[in-house]
Amino acid sequence: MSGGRAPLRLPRLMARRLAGAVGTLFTASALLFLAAEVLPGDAAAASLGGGADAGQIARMRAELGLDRPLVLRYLDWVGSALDGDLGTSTVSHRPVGELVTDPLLDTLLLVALSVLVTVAVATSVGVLAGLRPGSALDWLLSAGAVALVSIPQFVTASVLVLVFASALGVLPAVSLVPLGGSPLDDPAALVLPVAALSLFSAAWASRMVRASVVEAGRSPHVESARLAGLPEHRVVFRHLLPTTIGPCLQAFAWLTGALVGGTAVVERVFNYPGLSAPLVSAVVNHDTAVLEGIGLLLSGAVVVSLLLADLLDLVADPHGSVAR
Amino acid sequence: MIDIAELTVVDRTGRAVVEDLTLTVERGESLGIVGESGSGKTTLALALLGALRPGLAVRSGSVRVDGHDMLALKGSRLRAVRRRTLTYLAQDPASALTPTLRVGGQIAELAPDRSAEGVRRRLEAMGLPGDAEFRRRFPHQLSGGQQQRLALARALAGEPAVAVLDEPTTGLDVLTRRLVLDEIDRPARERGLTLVFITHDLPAAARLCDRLVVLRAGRLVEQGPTLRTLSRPADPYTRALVRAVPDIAEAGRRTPAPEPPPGPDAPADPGGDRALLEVRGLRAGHGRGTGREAPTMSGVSFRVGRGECVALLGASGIGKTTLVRCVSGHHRPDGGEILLHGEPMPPDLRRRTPAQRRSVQLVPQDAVGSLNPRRRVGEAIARSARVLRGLDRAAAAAETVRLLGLVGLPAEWAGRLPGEMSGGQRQRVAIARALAAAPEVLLCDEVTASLDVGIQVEILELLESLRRQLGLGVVLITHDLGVVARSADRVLVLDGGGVCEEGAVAQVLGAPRHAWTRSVVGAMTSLRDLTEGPAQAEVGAAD
Amino acid sequence: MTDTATEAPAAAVRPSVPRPPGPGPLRRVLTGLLWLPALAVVLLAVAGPWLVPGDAGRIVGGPYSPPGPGLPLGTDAIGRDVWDRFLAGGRPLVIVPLVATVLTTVVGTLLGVLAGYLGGRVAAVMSWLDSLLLALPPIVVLLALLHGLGYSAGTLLLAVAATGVPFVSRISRAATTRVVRTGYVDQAVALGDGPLSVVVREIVPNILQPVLADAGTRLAVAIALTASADFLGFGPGTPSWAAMVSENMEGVTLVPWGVAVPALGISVLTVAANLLLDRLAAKGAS
Repeated sequence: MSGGRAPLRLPRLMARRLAGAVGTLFTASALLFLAAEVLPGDAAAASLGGGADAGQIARMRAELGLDRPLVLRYLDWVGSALDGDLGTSTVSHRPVGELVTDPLLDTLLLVALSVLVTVAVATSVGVLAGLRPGSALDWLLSAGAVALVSIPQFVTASVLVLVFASALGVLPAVSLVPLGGSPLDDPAALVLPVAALSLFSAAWASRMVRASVVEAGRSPHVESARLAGLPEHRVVFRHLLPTTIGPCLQAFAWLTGALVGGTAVVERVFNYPGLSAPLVSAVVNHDTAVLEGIGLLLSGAVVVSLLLADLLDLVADPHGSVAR
Repeated sequence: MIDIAELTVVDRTGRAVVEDLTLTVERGESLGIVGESGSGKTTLALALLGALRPGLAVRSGSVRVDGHDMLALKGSRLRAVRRRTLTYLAQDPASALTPTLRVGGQIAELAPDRSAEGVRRRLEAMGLPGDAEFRRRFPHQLSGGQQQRLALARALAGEPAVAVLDEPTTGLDVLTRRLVLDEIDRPARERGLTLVFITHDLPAAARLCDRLVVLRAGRLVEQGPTLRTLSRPADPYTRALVRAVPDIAEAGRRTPAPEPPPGPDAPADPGGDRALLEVRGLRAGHGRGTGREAPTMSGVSFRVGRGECVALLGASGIGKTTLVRCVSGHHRPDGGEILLHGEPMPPDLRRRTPAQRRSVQLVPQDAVGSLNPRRRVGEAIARSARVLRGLDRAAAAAETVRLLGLVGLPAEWAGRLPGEMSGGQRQRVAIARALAAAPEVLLCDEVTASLDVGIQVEILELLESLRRQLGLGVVLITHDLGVVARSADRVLVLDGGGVCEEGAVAQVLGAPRHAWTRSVVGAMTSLRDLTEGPAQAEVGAAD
Repeated sequence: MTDTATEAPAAAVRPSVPRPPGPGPLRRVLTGLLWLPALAVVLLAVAGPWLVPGDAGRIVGGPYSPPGPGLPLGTDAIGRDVWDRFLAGGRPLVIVPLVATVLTTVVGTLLGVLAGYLGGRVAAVMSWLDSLLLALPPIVVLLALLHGLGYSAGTLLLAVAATGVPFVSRISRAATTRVVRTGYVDQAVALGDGPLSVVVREIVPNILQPVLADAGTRLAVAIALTASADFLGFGPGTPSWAAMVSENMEGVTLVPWGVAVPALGISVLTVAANLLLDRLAAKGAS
């Protein structure tokens, strides 16, 4: 009879991963809450501004519920968050959700575009370099990648501004988006921010893709396919590249997560109306609720991307048969 | 069909990897090319396909296959010849299967007839199911044996005229080895395939090939019909090679080893014979950590007497290594006793007395891993001598030199790092290190697997002499029944979690009772039987 | 044929963070060629403040004035001398990130070795802690810490460590597991070595290579994170290249030097620091 391995219960494995991701998110939120609330820095005092006396601060604390035990406050916060209520800004007194929705969407737009560009660039560059390791093209691309990965993102962004906005005057340096509008109204303003983010992440991703391609090129089945007299394009597209898809997809999914969490600085360079502005001012103004809310959203996005990476990996390669 | 004329291939330093080689293979002939590591076999194999490893260059000569000059062809012409005339199988044929290509596609890609019907026929010819469901599977959904068959079916799908096989059975267990060889032999005979079989496994070559060629350090030292070359070798190197191959037929001729002189701490024995090492009812599972599976072994018991060599046989993964690691204290068993000189030993190595730790030494399967890459080889050996035998630095250094000599390594190599040595050399260092403790029991886990036949002989003879002179007890794990036949006194066969067969080597190998033992013994080829059967040669008289 | 010695750990720890490959031949060549100039840049950044005549914070002219006599690079957004501030602004980007990287590497390596050596539950817990820390974006961690602890060297150290330790400990753990599995640790135990001796003599020398190979990247990230804090305006106002970039961004079309020169400085510095650390690592690992 035909033999083979024991059947794999895919849904079960996926469910386990999902449970793991949820657990991680919860614990991450707890850590975040801890960092934001426990460390010195009193929201009550900040909300009243300087010059408030001890009595007023104490009353404010009671009002804000800051005198209750930490665990209760955490559970309250998480509970409301699950209901969709992220609390109220202690500075502007508006619901956090309201303050954060538009910036969140704008950040996600930026991330989505950057991911698309990154995948396209990193795949082409990585495959080209990986198919000819040691060639001049490979060295050039790899040197560029090494440099771009080391340099902080805001520096790359600034250089882009210097070149394209200042020197060439071709693209706007700053996103001048009217309140309530969307960056899509002025696509030209999206180009540089997306480019800045993509340069960095494409540099990183292309090295992974390249390594994956090089390793696949050395595998016994590719060597065997070449010795069997198959044309090179067939060897590359049917024998080499398919085995690199799994690990590369994983890398890209992880990258998405990293991008989501990493747009803040680039946004600032361009004054892009994403989450960075409310996030930074929340810290400056001691607006704990906003800080926690945005932190939670970003962590959630990261966890979702990591989960996606894991799930994709499971689907593409359930038995772990393709060497990672 | 194949014409190699004065081929010389050199590496970057100018050293000849293949030197002045001239060889012809007739159409339909099966040629075996035999040699040890470094003989240039693989270079030759690849040259037949017009490929060379990076760093190698042809200094002179040519390689012609069916009239094509393989080393001169390039691009699409070269690919055309590879596709239509040749096929190549490397070590572990199944690893050549691209994991993302379905079974049907694997065949259809290389076959002239891509129809479902054609693919089905080819699969069935190799003993595989031909139905649509099977054709849609991926390689990892097949069993190990099926994967090998698929790889062979794929290799033959293009209806080649010449098959080049480069060590296809290395790394495979005995039964799979036999499967691969059978499945190559059959279509080769049926289709009149020209076969070039490159290997260091002499019995396998003997079984499959009409003619043999012996390579040594890139040069051809002997060639001739298989039987004649094996039974009346002309060249001394060939003679030594043939004699060195451990042969399963030796089992029947073993004389029982003479009783070794009593050791210094053998107690006055009133009645029974106190076995040196005794294992009672050992139970153990694999691995460590939180995920313990069901025990692999339940209730294994055996004894090893002084100067005795007990071989452990069994299928891969059955637990031979785990068993031996329990005895050495590296693995915690779930139950059972281990007794040294009749005294029970703590199962955990850390709880054993220094004397106990010294007495039982393990030479692990993975010599590469068992040596700290950052410690010089001499230091590893000397440390063992210092710590376990209490020798001072000077004495330990002298002992290191002696031991290196015993295992056939130059004394100056004590200053080398493991990474600077070959796999076989590292294996010998591991043996030396184990011997540095002056043990009473030596547990050897596949220690001869990565060694060339010549070195293997030296090591086995070393163990033999240590057994005779010092009463060293040896537990030998090996898959090579020839080694068992040559060196072991008794054999233990493990199957289904326990000992399924046990007895003197002549009996177990000559008349096996258990099913697994029978299949494995049947799968082995005996050179002696081959040569002495029909040819009536006087191998012994040639000494 | 293979009877694997110790079976693979029952729960295969699959790193969900793909690791970029270590320094390849290209990097080694670059490092070999460029380490001397790289060292020069780093020394310049560190020594810069001593070369500044007078106070780099004083106002010397109108905002965004073009370069002129005595003002090689013009003035910045408030009218301070860009060149002076540039000289003075490199040091914060070298000292703190360097110390932070050393801290991260040491702590991460120790945690990873512990997890790899003890295996089982300990490793599982640590692995879970790692994925936890990785779920929090570095910027969020940085900002949360700035929110709570204010801007200080300690805060920056903590932020860099918190975000970097999971990466290092993963590498260290994987390397330790590999080492333990291959068997020479067993041999040392058989000789009677205690755990501390095993860790120091057998494990650590053999995991240095992958850990140190990653150190260059850690330093680059440390510099980036530290610079980001300055860039976002949390610094105390002392000269800092990162702060200069953000301060002078508005007037970039008027006088680019206030952005261009510190940006260039940071770029060169990070690549230099990365290459230097790679070289040290390569030396140390051999």
